[in-house]
Amino acid sequence: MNREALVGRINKFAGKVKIMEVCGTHTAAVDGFGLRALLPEGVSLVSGPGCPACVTTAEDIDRLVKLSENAQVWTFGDMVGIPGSVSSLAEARARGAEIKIMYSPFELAERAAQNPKKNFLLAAVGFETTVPVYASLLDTLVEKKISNVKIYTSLKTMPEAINAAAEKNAADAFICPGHVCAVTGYGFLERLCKKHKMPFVAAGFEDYHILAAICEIIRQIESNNFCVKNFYPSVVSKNGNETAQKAVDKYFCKTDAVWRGIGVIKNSGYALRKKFFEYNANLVYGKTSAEEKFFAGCRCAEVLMGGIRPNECGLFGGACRPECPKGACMASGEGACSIYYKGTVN
Amino acid sequence: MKILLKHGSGGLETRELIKNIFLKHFYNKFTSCDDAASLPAVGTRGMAFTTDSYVVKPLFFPGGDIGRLAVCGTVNDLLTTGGVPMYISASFIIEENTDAKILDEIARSMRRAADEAGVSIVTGDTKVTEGGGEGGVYVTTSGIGTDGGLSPRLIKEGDCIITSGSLGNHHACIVSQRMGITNSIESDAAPLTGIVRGLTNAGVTLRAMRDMTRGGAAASLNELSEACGLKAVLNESEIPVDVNVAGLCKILGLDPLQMGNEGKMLIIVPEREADRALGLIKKSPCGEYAAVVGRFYFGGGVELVTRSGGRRVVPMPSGEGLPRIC
Repeated sequence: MNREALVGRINKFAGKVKIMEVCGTHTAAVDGFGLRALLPEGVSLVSGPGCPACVTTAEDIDRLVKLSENAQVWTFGDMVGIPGSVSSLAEARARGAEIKIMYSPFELAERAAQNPKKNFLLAAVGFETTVPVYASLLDTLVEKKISNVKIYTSLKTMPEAINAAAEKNAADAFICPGHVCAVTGYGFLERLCKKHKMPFVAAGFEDYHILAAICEIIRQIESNNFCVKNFYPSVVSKNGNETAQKAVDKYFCKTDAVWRGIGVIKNSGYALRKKFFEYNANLVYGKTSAEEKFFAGCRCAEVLMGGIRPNECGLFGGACRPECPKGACMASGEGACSIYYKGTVN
Repeated sequence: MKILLKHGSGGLETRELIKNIFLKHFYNKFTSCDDAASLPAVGTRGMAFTTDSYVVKPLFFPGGDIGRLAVCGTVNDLLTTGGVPMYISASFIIEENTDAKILDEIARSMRRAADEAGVSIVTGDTKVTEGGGEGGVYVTTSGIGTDGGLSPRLIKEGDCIITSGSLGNHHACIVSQRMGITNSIESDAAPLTGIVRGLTNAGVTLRAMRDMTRGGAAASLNELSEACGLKAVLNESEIPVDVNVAGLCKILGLDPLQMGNEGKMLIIVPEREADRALGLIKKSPCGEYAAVVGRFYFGGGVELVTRSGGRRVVPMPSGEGLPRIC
């Protein structure tokens, strides 16, 4: 079916369905292609917990700000505006901390090798898609005996988060993150489908990928027969990228993780294995606290689990805007609030 | 030769630097070594005046360098009034330890761009600062020319929006260079004198123009919309984006509408003039991929009709415009 046919089929759906697009990149694509305008009233899309910067806790940010007092901190651009309980990394940078936005962690290895007396810290944030890159960086650090880089991990994994969202009845169906599935394989979706009995569709990021996924979900809802579909077969296989999985397994082990706004999700994170302790910047701290303090009125927690749409939050567009974010979902470019804000306000 | 603090002291070394590099390349009949250049009067028309600073890294990149940018940027800003750019100033802030050969290359490139644009570099300034030892060059150019009288306030409902070429090339080129990505994307840095002169000489009615630099088409159109009180509606399938730039954007999560250009003009014309204007623009080597990409309607803001047939708001860009995390 072409785009027009897909849109036509979707608009024949007379029922109601709430679909969670888990990944922040999907939320950005839905907005970028203007897809919401093409859907009938009964089909609603809600955003999920799939923006890594958005689910990084304020405590993690506080620790990175503290660590920046003694080391040059390297991070991806999405992270710098995320509010901590006192300040964001961008605010710390304005006060004089050395915060570098990296395009690739390998730049960090190069810079650290050139400046052996300087301390560097990598703020390792991300999902299954990003962790193999950190593993590859560790290969370089080990091989070249670069000892002035430490890594602060706040890494998360998707299967457990999607399971948590399904358990909380956050949606009737899930459009699952194509790039995560490319690494993990779609096998985990079959376990989730069996458990929760709802549609799970792995999709790419083009408009027709997303429309096809919505169309398939509607078909399953209508027939009351639920299964996993892989609508991104060019990069997603059942077993995923085994090279990447092995690289990750060499350096990282699964651990419980605290998700901003959601709390502890068992076994949903990665920590550095014990034998690589010399690189581990988390060791000076205990476990992150599951208790969180939010800016009064901030409803990011509900936004992240599909409970409300961003514009249902009282701060949205008023006190909380991309240039002065109060919650993480407005601070990250792939956060649902910032995407909604840019798409609706002019 | 390395540039040292003494080259900015205003004494002998400064004079030598100016003579051996800047005067050598910039010299023309209006160039002045005095405190100010004396320039001939230009008819009775009003003047356009603009200034811009350039801090790009790397200094040299495929398709251009900081010098070419500095001349093209100021020339194109002057052109947006529909007038004729005439004189440019060039001020340099040079970090200590910069190689003089780099300055020579930059100055040579500026002269070449000035000749292409038909402007004269007539005055300038040189300062040397302490730096991190890696060398760095920052350039400020100011320019004056005649005022062509165009203004966003002239825009009316139904007017057509033309882009003089494909979007995002300069931004994509610089991002590629910084990330060490090998591709064939070149900066589009170019003076657009030929395009604007072609339109004005043919007597095409023009409403307004915008040089789509930082913030790209999104910023330019939001500014125009605010100034004229109308809504700009773009048709995504008509917007020209090079295939390599589009690919890089997909990978990095960038939006060509929000990416900076250094040789692309947004030109607003009445509907009846759109075909003729497009034909004239396409005759210029910089205008090969020009296209009518949208129109102004009653309302406010900027909207995009997507390829999928959906609609979305094109917001004013904000934040640092960084590649995304995943």
